[in-house]
Amino acid sequence: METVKLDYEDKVNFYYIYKPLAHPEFQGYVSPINLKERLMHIEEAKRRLGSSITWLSDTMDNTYHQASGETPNSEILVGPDGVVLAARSWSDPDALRVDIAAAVGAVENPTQIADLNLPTQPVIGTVAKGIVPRVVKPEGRFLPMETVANEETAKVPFYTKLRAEGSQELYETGKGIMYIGFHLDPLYRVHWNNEAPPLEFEISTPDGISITPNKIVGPDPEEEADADPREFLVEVDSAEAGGVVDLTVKYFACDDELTFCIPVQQDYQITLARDTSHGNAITTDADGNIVGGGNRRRRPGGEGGAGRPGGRGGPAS
Amino acid sequence: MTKQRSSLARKVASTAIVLGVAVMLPLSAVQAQGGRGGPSGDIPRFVELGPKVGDMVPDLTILDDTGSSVSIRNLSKDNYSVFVLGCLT
Repeated sequence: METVKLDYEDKVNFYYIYKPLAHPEFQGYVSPINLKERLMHIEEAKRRLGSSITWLSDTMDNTYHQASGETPNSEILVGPDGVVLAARSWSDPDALRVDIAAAVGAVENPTQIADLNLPTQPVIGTVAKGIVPRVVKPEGRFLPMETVANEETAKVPFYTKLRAEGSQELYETGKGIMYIGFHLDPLYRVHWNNEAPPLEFEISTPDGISITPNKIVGPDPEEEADADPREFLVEVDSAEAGGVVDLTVKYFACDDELTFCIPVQQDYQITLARDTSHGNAITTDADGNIVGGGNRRRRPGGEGGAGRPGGRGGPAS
Repeated sequence: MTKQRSSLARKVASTAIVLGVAVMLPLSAVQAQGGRGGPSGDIPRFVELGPKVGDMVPDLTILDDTGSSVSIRNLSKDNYSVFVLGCLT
């Protein structure tokens, strides 16, 4: 995309629009819960991509994303009169170049990727991972569940973020397994201080819904610090799907610069319903190898495809 | 209650931070740009709900990178414009 932009930037304006994460937890990134955090994601995308393309942000209710069929990486070319000249589900810089050339004329010597020498920046570093084993989900698809972080009762940022997922059976019948994961947000550069009391949470349920267990104390590793997610599986028994439960979590948030280590209590509301606005998590081991999750379709021919976030052509899809 | 970390814990943490920075996944969002962006073929929901060739670009208000409102139509007024959805992962 950068080569197309460089070749046509005097005739065409290029914009990336930041949307919900297609694959939360991949490379440690977790979904932002407010606009401030989404803008932090954009700054991180600028840092990592080194692109000269202007970043915009979708609204927190994902106005543009929804108007695009909640596609992860669609693109459109718009003419000066506001008419859409090209639209495709997946960004394709080669095809876009052809579309632009048809509109404004081709360039004589197109820029090549090798000409760019774009900087490649690593993901944000963190303390040791691989201390607390990842939870193994039962067979079958687990899909994200609607969660709302209660910012009104939160006194500090959500240094760790809840991800709830439900089994297919849970969504269909109201009974099944729910995954609950607390993932540190790397943009806050924090870790678990295992010398402090471990994370614990409690779920309160209305009549008609039971969750077992509903109160859990997390692992307390021997290692003094780590950044592994705290993950749990609970059983849900609800008369019907779509009920709402409340979760309160307590933990110690400690920054990697060792300037603070504070007790935190935060609240979430979980609706036992499928969240279609967020992508499916990709589970990685301590070395960053993909070990599960994701529902990307495999591209014919084998390249790209399932479990390959990022892809080629610009920001991750 | 805030707990004091031991000097050993500080050492473990700071060493691990350095190691963490050195690790970079091969499937990165910063991979070479300019290739294809994902699986081929149209996504039905995009075909059904997304912008269509020949239509006006949706009259939507989104945000710039400082959080200020911007209009898609205003951005594309009088210029050719490309809008691509993306994220870190």
